[in-house]
Amino acid sequence: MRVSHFLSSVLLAGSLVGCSLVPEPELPPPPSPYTNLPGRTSTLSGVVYDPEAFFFLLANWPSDPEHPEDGAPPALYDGVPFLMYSSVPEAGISVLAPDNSVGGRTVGSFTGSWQLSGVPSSNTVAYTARATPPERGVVLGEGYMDPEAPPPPVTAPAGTYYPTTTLRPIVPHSTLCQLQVATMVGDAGALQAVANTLTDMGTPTTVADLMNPEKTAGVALLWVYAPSYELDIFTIPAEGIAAEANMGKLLAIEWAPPEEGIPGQSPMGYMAIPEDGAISSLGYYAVVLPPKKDVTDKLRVSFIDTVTSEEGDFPRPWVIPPVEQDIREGVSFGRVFSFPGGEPPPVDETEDPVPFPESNSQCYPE
Amino acid sequence: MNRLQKTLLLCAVALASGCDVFRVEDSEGTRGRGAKAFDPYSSSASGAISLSLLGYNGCAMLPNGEPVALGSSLDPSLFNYPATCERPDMAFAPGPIPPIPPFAQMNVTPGALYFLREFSVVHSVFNQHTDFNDRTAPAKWIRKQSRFKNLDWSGMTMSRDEWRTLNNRGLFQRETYFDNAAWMLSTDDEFKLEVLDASGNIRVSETYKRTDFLAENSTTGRTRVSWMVMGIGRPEYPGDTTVHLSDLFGPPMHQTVVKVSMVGSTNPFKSFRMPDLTGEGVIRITWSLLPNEPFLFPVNFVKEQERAPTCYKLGADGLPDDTQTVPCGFGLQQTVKIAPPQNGKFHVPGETVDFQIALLDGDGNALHPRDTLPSFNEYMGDMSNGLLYFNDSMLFPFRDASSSEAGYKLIGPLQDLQVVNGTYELPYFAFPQSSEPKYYLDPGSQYYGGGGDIHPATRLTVKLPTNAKPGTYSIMLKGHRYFMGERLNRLDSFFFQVGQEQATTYPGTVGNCQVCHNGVNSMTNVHHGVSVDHVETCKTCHNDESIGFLPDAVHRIHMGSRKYKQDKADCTLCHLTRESTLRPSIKSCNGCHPGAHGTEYFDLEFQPVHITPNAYGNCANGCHALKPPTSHNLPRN
Repeated sequence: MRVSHFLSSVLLAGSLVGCSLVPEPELPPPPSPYTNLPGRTSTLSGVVYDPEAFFFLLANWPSDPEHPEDGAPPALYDGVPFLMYSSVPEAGISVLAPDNSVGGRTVGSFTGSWQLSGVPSSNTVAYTARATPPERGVVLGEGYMDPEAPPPPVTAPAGTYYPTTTLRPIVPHSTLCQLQVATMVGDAGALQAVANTLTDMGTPTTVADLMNPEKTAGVALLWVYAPSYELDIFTIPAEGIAAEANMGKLLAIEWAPPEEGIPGQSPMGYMAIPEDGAISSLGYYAVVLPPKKDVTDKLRVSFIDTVTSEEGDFPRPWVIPPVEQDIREGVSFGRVFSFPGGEPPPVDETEDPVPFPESNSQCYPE
Repeated sequence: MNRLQKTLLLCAVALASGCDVFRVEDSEGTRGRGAKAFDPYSSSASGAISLSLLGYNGCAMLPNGEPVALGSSLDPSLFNYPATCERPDMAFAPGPIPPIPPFAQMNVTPGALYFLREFSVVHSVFNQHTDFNDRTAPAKWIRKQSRFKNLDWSGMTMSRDEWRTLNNRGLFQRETYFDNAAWMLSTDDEFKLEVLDASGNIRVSETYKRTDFLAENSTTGRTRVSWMVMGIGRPEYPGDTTVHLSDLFGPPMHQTVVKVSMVGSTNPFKSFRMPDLTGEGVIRITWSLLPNEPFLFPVNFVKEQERAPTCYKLGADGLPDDTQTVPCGFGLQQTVKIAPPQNGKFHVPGETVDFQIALLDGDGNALHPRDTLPSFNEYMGDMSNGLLYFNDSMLFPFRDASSSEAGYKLIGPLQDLQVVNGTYELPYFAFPQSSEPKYYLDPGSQYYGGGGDIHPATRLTVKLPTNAKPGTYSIMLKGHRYFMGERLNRLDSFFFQVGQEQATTYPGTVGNCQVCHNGVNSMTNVHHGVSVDHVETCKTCHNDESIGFLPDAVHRIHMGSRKYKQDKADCTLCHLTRESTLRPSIKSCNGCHPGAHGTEYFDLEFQPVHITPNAYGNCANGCHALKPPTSHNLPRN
């Protein structure tokens, strides 16, 4: 074999497999992985519904007498009829920063879901969602009404709906803030009951008056719920919760079937109790603020659970965080969740750690 | 040529040809090498499209679980196809739900060259065999009543009887496997694929051998014959015949299933051109082991030029331009753009990693707008340009092991990645810390009010810990797509630096997958689609048995495979270091050696991952380190 043949063989073998006998030169450094990206924004999504209609439907929905346990849960799950038929179609949704700047606005879907992109991400700015009724008016659950199917067994009384601020801070530290709940209420619920009671108490009042900043800086409707079994999905009215406000007129809200015809009842059956210190059997309260010019402070409403019990899934008294918020004019609604009481389980220092499921998309304040 | 010359020549050739063998970087048929080496799974760039055919309880099914309808123009008397179908997600309903008329459409592209990559058909019943101590009843159903009753079940026997934790709070499932039936061991059977036009005429045909498929292993969601009880407490002692119910689950769920699933074509050149038809037709698969019971997959022929412009061109910045829509193509590519760190060179501990993903088809067009991904409802409605999301009905009733979970995980530094045994305290950073990736859309989101309409964000952030160690970190994207019959899994890594500019790499303890997984069977084309370059990232998710403990799963996949041709006692093939083999545990060894210690360590197998002692515990120091099993060939160093 000639040397040239040998070398040819080596080179041929090398070329066939794409390598050589000489050491490979060092590869150039990889290109930078970085790219300039525009300012970060967050996408908010959720559902908009009337919580008063939700409860009305829950209280009136027929149950299967043979399987009452098979009823839908009082929760904001997809397909739960109380949510479906209390959903607000095509609501205007905007999110407002504390300085009243608008973080973004959108229009919800026909079935009440909404998604808002482009809200500037922030670890500190707490937005609140404001739901506005469409110009054509609100037909609750319209997106689920099939004209060719039988109507639902119960529908909530119709009413005029008002732009409603939901008292739940949304801090968009994540780029996706999902399962945000926006609320909208109208004059078929507690607002009418409040107006009726104030009138009975000697101050002639209409629901329109409650929206007038010259007469009140706003009305805050605060519904205290039992601890939720999952996230803030379960909306079970909490009985026996006392409330105290730092300003305005605090009224306990009760409910009875509208057909009982109790004086002062609203079309949905809500009533406002005039007595000071009354405790709502639903955990539902309204605060009518003084005229705007007289308000210089945040609204503070504290809650105390008056019940002591070791029974049930969550021992009582429950712990209920106070509401402390600047109230915008018009009506605001707060879904206030209780937390289980009692001593937290002792920490076992010998226990090895288990990671919590990662969840940063609720966008609560950190 | 004299002896010396011959020897020198052989040495030279061997030296030259061998220089690539032990490199683990970019040495196999990974995507990106398509230009050099034909990669049949590179979609339109490959010249052939991989075809997946799925069926559930007698009906064809899309990978979102929706049953495929026989086209309205097709004569039902010509095609023996069910008028009603069961959906896999019906298994979760509290009561019996009657089958429904199927409604989904399976589109294919006429004129395109396809090859059969996957054939997966399932017959599953729920809560039909509920006697915890009676394995005969499910076995009888399997052999005598299931849709696969006419297979040759001779030789079927009970094999593994496994308990698996569902959480760390005492909730388990028990699954009894039935194996060794004659049809399961067959190697000479065939699948004849025929494309029929609306009149029932055969327009094209191709036959695939059983041996043309790479994988049939239940560990990766393929062929499975089993009976499972889900949602119960652990047995109190070996042989305990009592069902221990759990408050965490309610009534247990029972599934009896026969899944026939072959995937991964080893011969993608055995392709066929989808006939140039319009309207509707049927793909018929006739399995030689069930010659009189063909499987029908109704299809809708959609010409390439008829595809709606639902994808997006990329703008100059490489991100989707929402104003320019184009028709989608086949394939799935994943991209990440990372915002520069504050110092412009590397992220520092405590800094937030800010990145934007874009998921593209094989032609480089985006499958979604710039800022958001499709919603779950769009995915279920086949309006997501093929992007798939986590879908529990595919994982449980259909028994896929990885089919639709889309998300990401951020890990690092690479040099610290190692298997963890029985702890959640990782020696490296991982977000999320738990085994699952962070899904773009949280599993179950669709069950919340409005959740089905959530459009996940494409811009994502992860805050690094203040004690993040320096080195190279990786953002791993896991993606799935189904488009015009092509079902793809992708898992890609994108790197950035933390704490230093100098790059670091994996520990290099395992590898060599390319020895077998090359070319058409490259790692990027099997299961999750992780390149062999990055196999040391597998352990960052598979760190407990809830989703498969890697040392257990990877041994099961290979040692339990009829396709694995290597010496099963030769650890040196995959283990690159001796140290990596000297960490035996019940979990690591049980896949091949079930019951090796009898019931001696029975209790350990039911201990949670993070409670010591448990089945992840190191047996080495006690028994097996000083004298490793002599039947295993370990690396010397």
